[in-house]
Amino acid sequence: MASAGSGDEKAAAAAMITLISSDNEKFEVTEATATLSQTIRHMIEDGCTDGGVPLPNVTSKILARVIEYCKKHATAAAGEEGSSSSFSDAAFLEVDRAFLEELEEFDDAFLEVDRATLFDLILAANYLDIKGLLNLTCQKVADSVKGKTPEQIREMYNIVNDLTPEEEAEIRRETQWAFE
Amino acid sequence: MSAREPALQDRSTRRTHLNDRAEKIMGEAVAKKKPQLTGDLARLTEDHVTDILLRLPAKSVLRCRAVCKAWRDITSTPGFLSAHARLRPADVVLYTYQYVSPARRHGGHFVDVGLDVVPVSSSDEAGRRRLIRYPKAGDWFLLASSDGVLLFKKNQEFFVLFNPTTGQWAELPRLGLPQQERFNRSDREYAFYLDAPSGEFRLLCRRSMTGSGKWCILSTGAAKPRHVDLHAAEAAGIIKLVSCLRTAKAPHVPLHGCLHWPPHRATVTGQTEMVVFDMSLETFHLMAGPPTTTCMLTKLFDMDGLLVTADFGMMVKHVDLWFLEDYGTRRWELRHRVASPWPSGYGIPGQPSQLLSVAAAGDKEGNIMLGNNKGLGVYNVRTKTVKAIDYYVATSDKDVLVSRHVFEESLVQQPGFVAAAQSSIDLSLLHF
Repeated sequence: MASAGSGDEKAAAAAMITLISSDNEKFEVTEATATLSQTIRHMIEDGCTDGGVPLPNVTSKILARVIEYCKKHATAAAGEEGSSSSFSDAAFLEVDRAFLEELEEFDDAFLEVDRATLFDLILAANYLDIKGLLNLTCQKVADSVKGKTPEQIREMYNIVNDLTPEEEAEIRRETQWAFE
Repeated sequence: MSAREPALQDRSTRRTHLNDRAEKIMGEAVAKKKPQLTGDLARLTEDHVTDILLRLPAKSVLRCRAVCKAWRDITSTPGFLSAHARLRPADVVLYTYQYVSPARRHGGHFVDVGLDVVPVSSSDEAGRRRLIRYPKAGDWFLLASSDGVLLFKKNQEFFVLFNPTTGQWAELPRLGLPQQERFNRSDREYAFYLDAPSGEFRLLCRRSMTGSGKWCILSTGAAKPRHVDLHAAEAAGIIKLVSCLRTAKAPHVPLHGCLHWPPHRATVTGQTEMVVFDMSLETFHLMAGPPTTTCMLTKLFDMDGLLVTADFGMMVKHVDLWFLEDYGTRRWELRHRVASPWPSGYGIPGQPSQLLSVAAAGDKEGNIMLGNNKGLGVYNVRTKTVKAIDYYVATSDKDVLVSRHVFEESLVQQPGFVAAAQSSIDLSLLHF
């Protein structure tokens, strides 16, 4: 388990949660992993996770990827918890630099997915309320748009241009510098 | 399964900070009939698309307006624009000197000043971009930078505001000096800030250099200067602690509705303190600074909602970063000690000539840019590593000077600003 070295390893091992995907596949995860999802965290707090947590909006393929992310980030989250800004927490500063680099490499590799999967991950991250994953995936889409021309963006995401030629010309005229 | 579903649905409406903002912004557009998202992104909600577009730099946002109607509408609401401005990373402003010809460089005969910016997180030259270029002879002087707007003093008389991101201009009302002070060229500008409730940019000025009082505020949109009573602050000796904008070692920093000046050591108590100006009450007061400060050169900046001082110290072997942990209780903490970004032996920032060209700025990702044109580095508070930036400072010529100013781009259309074509300001010698 990725949570090696964390102090609450024993407690995490004791409490296992079953997540059930839309296609009825069951996934056993530790509570520490599952509670990266605020949605599941609240269900655990409300004591309604016996018999498994049904996730009718998430397929097994996507849930497997989400769990992979949560396992990796569960330890980092333990340090970050309760901090208003991610670098203001003294405990977090002590997190091994090597681990941070490893986490960054993991995230980069994790995002090497096709566009459909990326959007599935955004929807799942939103549904499960996993802040870090939503942040990561939305940033990935933003990065793909950055520096591109409107034509390139439309082509990349199959967007229909419903602006009239006059409207488009006006937008370009108003802020000409952005199109140079 | 169905029994639990309502609870789950309810939970799923909890959103991230950014999503909450996105939701609020989308509310503004609900009234009119919304153009539909098309293509692959139609699978996502408008909240998600808003969240994604908020992450883009201004130039990309403007390009996105030309993609389709839905994107144009999302990126044009006032809510989107102000949220976008709040999320922009800080840039450090550089002065770049342009010469008539390379041969005349050594005589120092530069003709133009270009203002370039580099992101605080910058590790290569790709992020560097030009805001404006103005002639030396045209007598433009950059006094301050606030909320995406640059304040210039032109011909030692007029105050001109420029938002390089929207390309819009504004002018402040004339100061209207008393007869006996017409030819007194003393510095009169003390604070420049955005008054958030009104959207006005304001400049706090001293109208009379003799005696007390005669303070006024120049606002965008106002026809005349407005008198402001600072007798209490003058009587308390606070005013004399405030440097004017032109000669201030470090700019004041807006946070929590107040402007903060870098700490100094109080002559009586020996404690460090900072001058604070409440932007809504228009009053000055003092607050406690970090417990130890050399006061040789201490810069102040805002790092994702926290005040940070960078104490460059006496020996400049290292820079101490103090964080104001708790604004309410004034609890400061020395969090980081960073090896000086200057090569040893030169570039001592204690020299008066160096004071105006020392950068210290932070962004939301934990990066802090420190240094001057002798050496510039980016320190990351998470990894605790310094990355030297030498793509321009390593060159021996003096074409680039690091300024003390921090710039954060803003697409917000502030009242009183107009496009260059509609402006009465003489912009004939400027380049963009």
